[in-house]
Amino acid sequence: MTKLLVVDDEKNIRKLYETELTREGYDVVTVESAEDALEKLETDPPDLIVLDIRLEGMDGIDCLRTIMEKRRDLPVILNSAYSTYKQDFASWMADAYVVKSADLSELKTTIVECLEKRGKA
Amino acid sequence: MSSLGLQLAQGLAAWVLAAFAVGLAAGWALSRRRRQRLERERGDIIKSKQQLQAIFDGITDGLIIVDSNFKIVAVNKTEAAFLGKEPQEIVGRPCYEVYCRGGSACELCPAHETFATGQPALVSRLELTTGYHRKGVDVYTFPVKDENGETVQAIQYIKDVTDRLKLQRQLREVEQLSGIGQMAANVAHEIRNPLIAVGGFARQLHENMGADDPNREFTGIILEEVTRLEQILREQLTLEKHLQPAFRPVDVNQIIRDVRKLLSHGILSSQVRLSGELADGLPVTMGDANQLKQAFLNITNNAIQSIEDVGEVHVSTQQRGEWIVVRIADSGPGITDEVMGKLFVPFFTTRKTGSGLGLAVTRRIIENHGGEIEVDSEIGKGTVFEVRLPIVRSSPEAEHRKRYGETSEEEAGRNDV
Repeated sequence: MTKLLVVDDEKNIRKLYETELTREGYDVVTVESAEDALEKLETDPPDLIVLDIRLEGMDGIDCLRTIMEKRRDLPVILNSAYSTYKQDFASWMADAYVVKSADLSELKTTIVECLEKRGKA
Repeated sequence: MSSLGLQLAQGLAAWVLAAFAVGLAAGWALSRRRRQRLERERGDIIKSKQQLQAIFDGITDGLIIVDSNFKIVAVNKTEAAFLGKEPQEIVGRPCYEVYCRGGSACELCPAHETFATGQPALVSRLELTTGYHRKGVDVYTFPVKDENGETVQAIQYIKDVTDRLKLQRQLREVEQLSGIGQMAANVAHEIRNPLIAVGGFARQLHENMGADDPNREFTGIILEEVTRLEQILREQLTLEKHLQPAFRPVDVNQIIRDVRKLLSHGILSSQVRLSGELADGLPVTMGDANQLKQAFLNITNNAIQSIEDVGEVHVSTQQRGEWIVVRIADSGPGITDEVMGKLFVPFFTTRKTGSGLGLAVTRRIIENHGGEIEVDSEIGKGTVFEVRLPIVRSSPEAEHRKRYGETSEEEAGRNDV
């Protein structure tokens, strides 16, 4: 089963993503910080990461940089309530950038596309 | 009487007569000289009175002189014109009657202090109105003393600061608007996350319900409204939206001249010198003149305010390659490293009354114009703000016409963009 790692500091958003994405047939692991995500990368490596940007401690962009240094093959989708980070060059390292919405259909489609592109679907 | 006595008497009379005639002639000559001198002095006095009157009337701010009963002794043309009357209609009347239609001297009048202390006094930001005009003024009073040192009259210098007050109001409004925009943006972002959770779970409930579930209508309404809220948040009134520039050809030198004009009102009374050096033949570029004016006003105003007593603010323009460079250099105390790091952060300010948005807005304006802003500061020496704006030409056609002065036949049919 394809394993997704969701990084978000909002408890209810984690819960929402977990239920919605589980229903789509993924194995969903959620964490609340960039530090926890980097740890999971070692202990329980996922097939794709959905990464929030505004986080307590290390932010999503820095987390993305670290992931790219360790695992260039790992698809990462930046998922933020803010569209402004799109202008940050560093955000271009990610496979995709999806602005958060209550309607998760765009995120779901993007997950499928990214996995297909990387041959992990 | 003997003949000798008669002769003596006749001689004496002749002598007295002669002496009287001489005396008369001498006296006449003397009084003629005095008359001439008096005449000359009178001429000098009239001339100097005329000179003083010319200065008095030539001053473009209002001037009145009042006696200790606040009766107007003299008024200059500027002030008479503001009051819509001839000077002779005003002189002799109490000033409170002319200005306030009141029965006694206005409480705020600085002349009270001048009469009481014999010292100059100032009251700023008064508002004067007549039937048709209204002006914001600073009123300075100066004592006129008699030979015993008593203050018998007060000269009131009524400085029109309407433009300055208007400018300060505009600055405050822009800062407030930006503040509201910024706050709206922050609130919108804070709301977005909880809304996503609400909407997301409502969607799950909605999808889990059977088509005939009576509650499905209600979850449908929740979803509809969440979508509407998300749309509103997406179109939020952010600072960016508020500051979208309207590009027109602008002359940066003219903008700087306007800024100088606006600010020179405010610094007349302080000891800050505002100097400038504008480059000849600076190319016209595309920009939003009002926004750029706002940006340079913010920087220059900060520079002036940073100077504690005596100093200079020098504004210069120049072309450097494809950039127009505006430098605003002050001789203020300089900016510490700590403050430098937060200079453009919204809501950060070192002033008690500042909102901390002036430079944040300024940077946004310059960046929206594709420009750059750089600050160089040395403690004890001063600070230089360098703003670089790219030279953006309206269109190649317009550029060609500007360069060669005439429209070729081929171009004549084309419309300029």
